[in-house]
Order: sequence, then C-alpha cells, then structure tokens
Amino acid sequence: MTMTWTAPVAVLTAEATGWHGVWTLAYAAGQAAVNLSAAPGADDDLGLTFAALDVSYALTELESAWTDAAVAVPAVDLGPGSLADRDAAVAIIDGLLAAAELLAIELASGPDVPAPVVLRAGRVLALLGSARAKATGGVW
Amino acid sequence: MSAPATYGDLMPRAAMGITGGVMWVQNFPAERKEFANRAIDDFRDALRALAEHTRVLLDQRRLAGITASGAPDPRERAAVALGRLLYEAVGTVPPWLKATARPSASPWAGAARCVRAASDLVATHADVTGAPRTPDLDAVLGDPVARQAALAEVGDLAATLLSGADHLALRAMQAGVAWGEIRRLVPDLGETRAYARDLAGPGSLPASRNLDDLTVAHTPIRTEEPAAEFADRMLRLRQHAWEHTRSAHPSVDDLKTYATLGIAIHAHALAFHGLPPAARADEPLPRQLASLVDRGRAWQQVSRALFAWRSAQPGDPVAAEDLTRISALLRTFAPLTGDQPELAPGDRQHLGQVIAGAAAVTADIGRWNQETATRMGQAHQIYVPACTLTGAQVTNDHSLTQAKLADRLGLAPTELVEAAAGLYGLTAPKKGSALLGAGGLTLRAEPLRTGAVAAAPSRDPIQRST
Repeated sequence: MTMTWTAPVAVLTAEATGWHGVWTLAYAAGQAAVNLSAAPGADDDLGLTFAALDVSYALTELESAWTDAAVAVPAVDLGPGSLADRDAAVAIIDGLLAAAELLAIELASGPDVPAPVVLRAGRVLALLGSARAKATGGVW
Repeated sequence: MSAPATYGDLMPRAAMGITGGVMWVQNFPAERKEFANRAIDDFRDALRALAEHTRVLLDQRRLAGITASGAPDPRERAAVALGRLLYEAVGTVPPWLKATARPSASPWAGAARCVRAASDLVATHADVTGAPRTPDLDAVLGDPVARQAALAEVGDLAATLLSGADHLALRAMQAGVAWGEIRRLVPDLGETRAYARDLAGPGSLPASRNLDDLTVAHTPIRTEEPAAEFADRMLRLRQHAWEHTRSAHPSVDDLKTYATLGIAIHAHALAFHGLPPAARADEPLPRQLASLVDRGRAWQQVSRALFAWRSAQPGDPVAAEDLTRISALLRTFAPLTGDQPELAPGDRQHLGQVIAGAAAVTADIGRWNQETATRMGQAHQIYVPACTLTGAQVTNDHSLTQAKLADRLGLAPTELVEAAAGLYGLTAPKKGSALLGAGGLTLRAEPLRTGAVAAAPSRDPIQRST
C-alpha cells in the first residue's frame, strides 16, 4: 500500500520550488509519518510521532515568514501506511525531509539572502534534521 | 535542591512549635526579664501570624456575605470572629519593624514563621487581584472540604496557643515584668479562645490530602534527581496547559506538544507494566491497564486529528523543551524496546507512582486542551489546508470553497473542531482525576497529620485575676 507513495513523492520532489516548496515537502513527510504511525506496531519507539511534531514546529517556522495569508500551499496526504512496507515508507519520509532540507539550504545560500531568512533557515534545518533522526531510528 | 515544602509539611511544624512553647511556659520559669519579654513578643507574633493566615484562607470576596448572613457556616463565622478579635488583641506590625526585628529561635517564633510560610505558599497561587495563577487555587482552596480542614487547623493551633496565655503572664510576672505591661500585652483572651475552639470544631479535625499536598506555584526544576526532574517538568507542563486555556492567543503547536506527551506517557506506562505500545484494549488486561491503553489510543487519535491544524501563534519553546526532556527520562525509566532496567523493589514502586501520577496529569491536560481547542475554534484561530477538507465540509462556506480551489489555508470548520473536542473527551477518565493538587506526583498514603496538636496539655491553664 505504501508503495503508492513513490510516484507522487517523485513529482513533489521534482516540482518543489521556493519556501512554499519546502513547506509542501515537509507537510507531506509529516502527514506520511502520522499515517504510518497509525498502523499498529509501526511506531513502537514513537519515533514517527515525535518526528511529526518536529515537522509541525518546522512548518510554523516557515509560516512565520508569510506576509500574505492567502498564500497557496498544496498540502499533500499520501494516504495510509502499512506495517508490511514500514522500512520503505520510512525511507520515503526520510527522502521527503532530505529534499526539504536541500531546498532550504539552496534558498538560504544565495548571495543576497537577508540574515533573518538565513537564521530562520537554520532553525528549520535543525527541526527537519531532528525529525529525520527520529523517523529513521537515529539517536535523539 | 530539596523538594519544595508543602502545606502539609509546614502546618504540623507550626503545631509542634506552638505545643512546645506552651509546654515550656507551663513547666519552666523565665530566668530573666528580657527572656519573658521575648516570650511575650513571640506569643503575640504567633497570634498575629494565625490572624493573617485566617484572612488568607477566607475568600475576601465572601467576607461581607459571611458576616451579613443570618445562618452562615459556623466554622466560617467563627473564623471571621477569631480573625477580628486577634487583630484587636495583637494588631499588626509595620514592615520596617519586621525587617529590623532580631530573629528569635523560640518554638513560638518558629511556629509563626511556619504559619507565615504557609500563608505565602497559598498566596503564590493568586495574583494581586485574588484571581488564580494556578489551577490549584480553585481546585484546592475552592474546595469546601479543604477550606474547612485548613480553618479547623488554624482554630486548633490558636486554641492551643491561647491555652498558654495564663502561664505566660505568670512567668512574666515572676521574671519582674510590670503587671500593667503584662495586662496590656497579654490581655484577657477568653472570648478569642472560645471562637478558636468553635473554629476547630468538635471531634477530630477534618483533613484534606489535596490541601496537605499543596506546594508553592511555579517551583523550580530539580535536575539533580531524574524522578524529581520528571515530576517537576510534568507539573510545569500541567501549569502551562492550564494557562493556555486563558491565553488570548493559544498555539496549536502547544496542543500538538501535549498530544505527543499524552502518547509518550501512556506508551511508557504500558512498557513499565511489560506491555508493548501497540497493546489492544480488548485484550484481557487488568482494568487499570486497559484504561491506560484506551487513553493512550485516544491521545494518538487526537495527535492525528491535530496534525493538519495551523495557527498564527508559535508554540512555547519551554513546553517543547519539557517534552524533549520528559521523553528522554521516560526512555531511561521504562524503555519502549529492549529489557526494562533492573530496579530495587522500593525504587520500582516509587517509579510506578511517578508514572501513574504523570498519567493522571495528562487527564487534567486533556480536559484543559479540550477547552482551549473549543475556544480557539470559536475565536477563528485554527486554520487547516483547505485542500484536505471534503466537499461536504466546504460546500456551505464560500471562503472555504475558494480556499480549497486555490490550495490555501482556511478556517477550520466547526465540525472538525467538535470532532477533536470529542476525542479529547476520551483522554480523561469520566470522573475527576486522582490529582487535583499540585503534589499529585508525590502521592501519600496518609495525610500528613502529626499528633502534636492532639498532645496539647490537657489540664486547664491557671486562672488569672482580672
């Protein structure tokens, strides 16, 4: 069931641009972590639950920069996850978060990026990195 | 750092000091005049502290009603009369005199300090207007049982202290203090003593465990002992969740923090009892463990329901830090995977109490979060990505329909908030939690009452000529 995630994730990763793209990638990863944690036995160490919380904090950081409340932010729900495909699903979540990190680094690395944006990118990267560690069973 | 003092620690110490002082003046002469003067000062100071404490315990907004009522509660009426008579007898001391007074080491002075510390302890739970700063002001002092217990204890202390007045006057006279001075400083307090006995009431004193467990508001975090740190951080989160219900701009990130906390506490509590986090409530389990499973599942449902919620206000970093630290501590107390740590039976029992107390705290948090989420929904402070809503959810709302078509955030529909509120209802037991006071993480088998008051001298004080 989780393998149905692969194709939309590839599109998401390829199409994501700008800070809204970071938001969309992170949201999709967080929602996928929530969905997978709902499968009995798939989140025995609560890593996915805590990863979803870190993603929520990162989304709030990103939203704090919005000056227009009417901004378009495609929120993607990849659908339910299953215990049978847990490892593949976790890899997909990790890939989405890594793509969000790479995009954020790219956006914060330009020559004319204001300091507040760089600082916010640092906070977002810390939260996304923490979410990756928790989701993949790393040290946290 | 030691554990913060509780009301139940301070008042028995005051009782021991008062009893010790009374026994002293009954049995030993004052060797010098200045000793007698100091004893009189300490006696009056202890009475003053009791008068101040009576005022702290009585809700000032109800004073006029108590005095005007034709049939007031007898104990409250006695408390008002006792407070008035004590103020008439010993008055108040200006703050500058208190600051310059030489500290006394007598039992009565110690008792006065304990009573004043208890007054300060209670006062930390209210702001300058008398409005509560913590959930415990209403939950403990608003509880008639607790207030009656506190007032009865003050009456008992005052009656015991006043029983030493005649001996004190005798010892002062024997030490050479002028009789006129004694009469001025230790006047006839028979009526006051009668009200003190009325306040204590007949029979054994009422007791309230919640009152005894009451400690100061906003205690510091004790980081040197893991179980204490865990309990302190849980209490801080509980306090924050309660404040959240009154905040003008609450954050859904904080609600998510609490939902994750609820999941973690119940999962680790199950692990402590040897069950996996995926345990099912329909398995044959003891009732208490089945309740843990049910409530843990409810927190999981809340967490999933909240993920899409957004709000303008960021979460509180202190709450996030507390959750991180609590999670780390729980993984050492009761790891979710692998073997449980080897613990001595006493340590295991203590840890079990701490974890059970934490689960009870999450019930309070669930109730307050439900209130916060409902209020945020009514105040239009919750947003969701409109594309996650169904057609039925947006069809009657033009702005939501537009938001869905444009992939924007929109205000959370009422039914979404109500559904989440319903899930919160499953996180708390139907009846009141085992925890009302701040000391719920330090469960006591018995209220802290000592036999000090009961051991007060039984023979009547000698009569003074008037």
